[in-house]
Amino acid sequence: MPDNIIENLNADFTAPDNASTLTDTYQVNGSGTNVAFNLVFGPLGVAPMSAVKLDDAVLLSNTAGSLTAVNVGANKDIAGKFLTISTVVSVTSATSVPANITLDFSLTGGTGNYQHSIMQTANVSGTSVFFSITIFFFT
Amino acid sequence: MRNIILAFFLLIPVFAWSQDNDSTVTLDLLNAPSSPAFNLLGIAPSAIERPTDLNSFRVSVQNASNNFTRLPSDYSVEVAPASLASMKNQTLDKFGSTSFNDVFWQSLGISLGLTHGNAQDIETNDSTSFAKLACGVKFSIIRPGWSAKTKKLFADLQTTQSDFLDSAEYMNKSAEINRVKGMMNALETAKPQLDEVTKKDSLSHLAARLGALNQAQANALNKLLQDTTGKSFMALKNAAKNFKIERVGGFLDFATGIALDFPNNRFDYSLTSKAGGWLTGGYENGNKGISVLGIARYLYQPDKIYANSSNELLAADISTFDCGARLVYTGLEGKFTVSAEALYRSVLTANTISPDWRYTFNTGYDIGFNKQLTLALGKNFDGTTTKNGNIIAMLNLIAGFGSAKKIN
Repeated sequence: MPDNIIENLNADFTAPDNASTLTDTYQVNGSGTNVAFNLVFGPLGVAPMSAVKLDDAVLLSNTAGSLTAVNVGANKDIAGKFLTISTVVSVTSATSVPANITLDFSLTGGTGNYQHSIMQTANVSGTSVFFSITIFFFT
Repeated sequence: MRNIILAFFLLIPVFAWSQDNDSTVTLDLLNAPSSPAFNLLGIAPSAIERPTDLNSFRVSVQNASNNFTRLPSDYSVEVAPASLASMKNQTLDKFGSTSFNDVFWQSLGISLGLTHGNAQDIETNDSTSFAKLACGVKFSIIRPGWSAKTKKLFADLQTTQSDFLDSAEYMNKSAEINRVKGMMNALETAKPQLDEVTKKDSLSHLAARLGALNQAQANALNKLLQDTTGKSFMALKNAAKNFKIERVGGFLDFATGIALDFPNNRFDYSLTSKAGGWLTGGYENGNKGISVLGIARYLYQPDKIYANSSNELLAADISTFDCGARLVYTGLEGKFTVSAEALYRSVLTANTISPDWRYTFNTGYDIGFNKQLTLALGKNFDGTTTKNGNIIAMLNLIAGFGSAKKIN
């Protein structure tokens, strides 16, 4: 198989980091465009619950399921602030074990798009795992 | 009520119990296989790859194909597309949904198997072996919602998760984390006095430090969560462990599969070796009230013809159709059960075997103290019972000894 096809496959099928935290920076600008994030969980049937804050302001209070297109705020308003997401994911009898619990996080609306995945493994049903995401917005 | 039911049992005459081997066949025989492709190819469940994300799927194919350099000789994979693709936001809170979109994607499973063997499905590793490929699909069309008990268990799980997150937030407040965050804030504020490169490098350095602190906090929390014997977060551990899905309402599931032989090992010439379709529907009622199950099964060239127990037919070019239904009523807090089951079996493409029926009626009443009255009436497919009037009846009085342990 040609190397470029394998490279493309590798790019599309990027393996998530085996980690429970994601800490990074995201560049915003002085515009009024809103920055939004997605937080998608896998595999099928896991039970996630997340709390989302921008500095001390609560954006979402203990919300179940995947989070899509959550508005963080306008570029010019969020510079110098921290987005923090605390998540607990429970694996019940609805999910086959062992399960690779993946968390796909993406940000849009700033100077570019951001995407990163992290993962933990649950070997038995009834397990819960904790994830945390911290993003610092800078100009 | 108890006396009336007891009298009903005692007034029933007792018939001789006689049946052939066919009477042991139950409706479960017609159940759709969990993986239609592997059922048709006869692949053992232990040999099946079940990747849950795109990366593990890639690794699985890469290993089987010697790093994408050749077609695998033996490979079996079962995937849930919703888990692999971007549709994987099908989390547990959506499992109670009855909308077709959620039900379809959550239940959709695709199985694919490739193996080599001779005409008798034996792998010989010589010129008599040829490629065999099978694929199968299964999904739900209608699915019932959660029972009140399941909704309560899910609410309990969410409550304990909320409690955990509140605790986690409290535990995550560390002076060192706040100090590093303060330094990052100061860098952003001091931007006019810093060049871009210095600022980005400094932020990067501080973010790495903050990441290490966050990871240490998360590791400590996860260690407490994984400790099954520890007392921390016991309510969350119990709620996750105890959660079971019970559904109440109508359902309809479909599964199908086809197996192809490639006698010349060329993919431009194939023969259909087996195919099948299963349709399962009914009404689930948890553990009480009336539950109904109906199954219809079509098979093309099956390994074993259900309506042909004497094996006088060869399976070549044979199609069979079998169906069955079961009705179960559970009342009086589980003490009284009534069930009826009927089975139909036929060979569609041969006239030598006539279609036939079997039906049974079962009822039981738990009178306590290890005593249970049971009654079974029915007509068998054939054999002694059929010849003697097609009635099977049995009255059992089971008297247990010792403690009053319940017999089911």
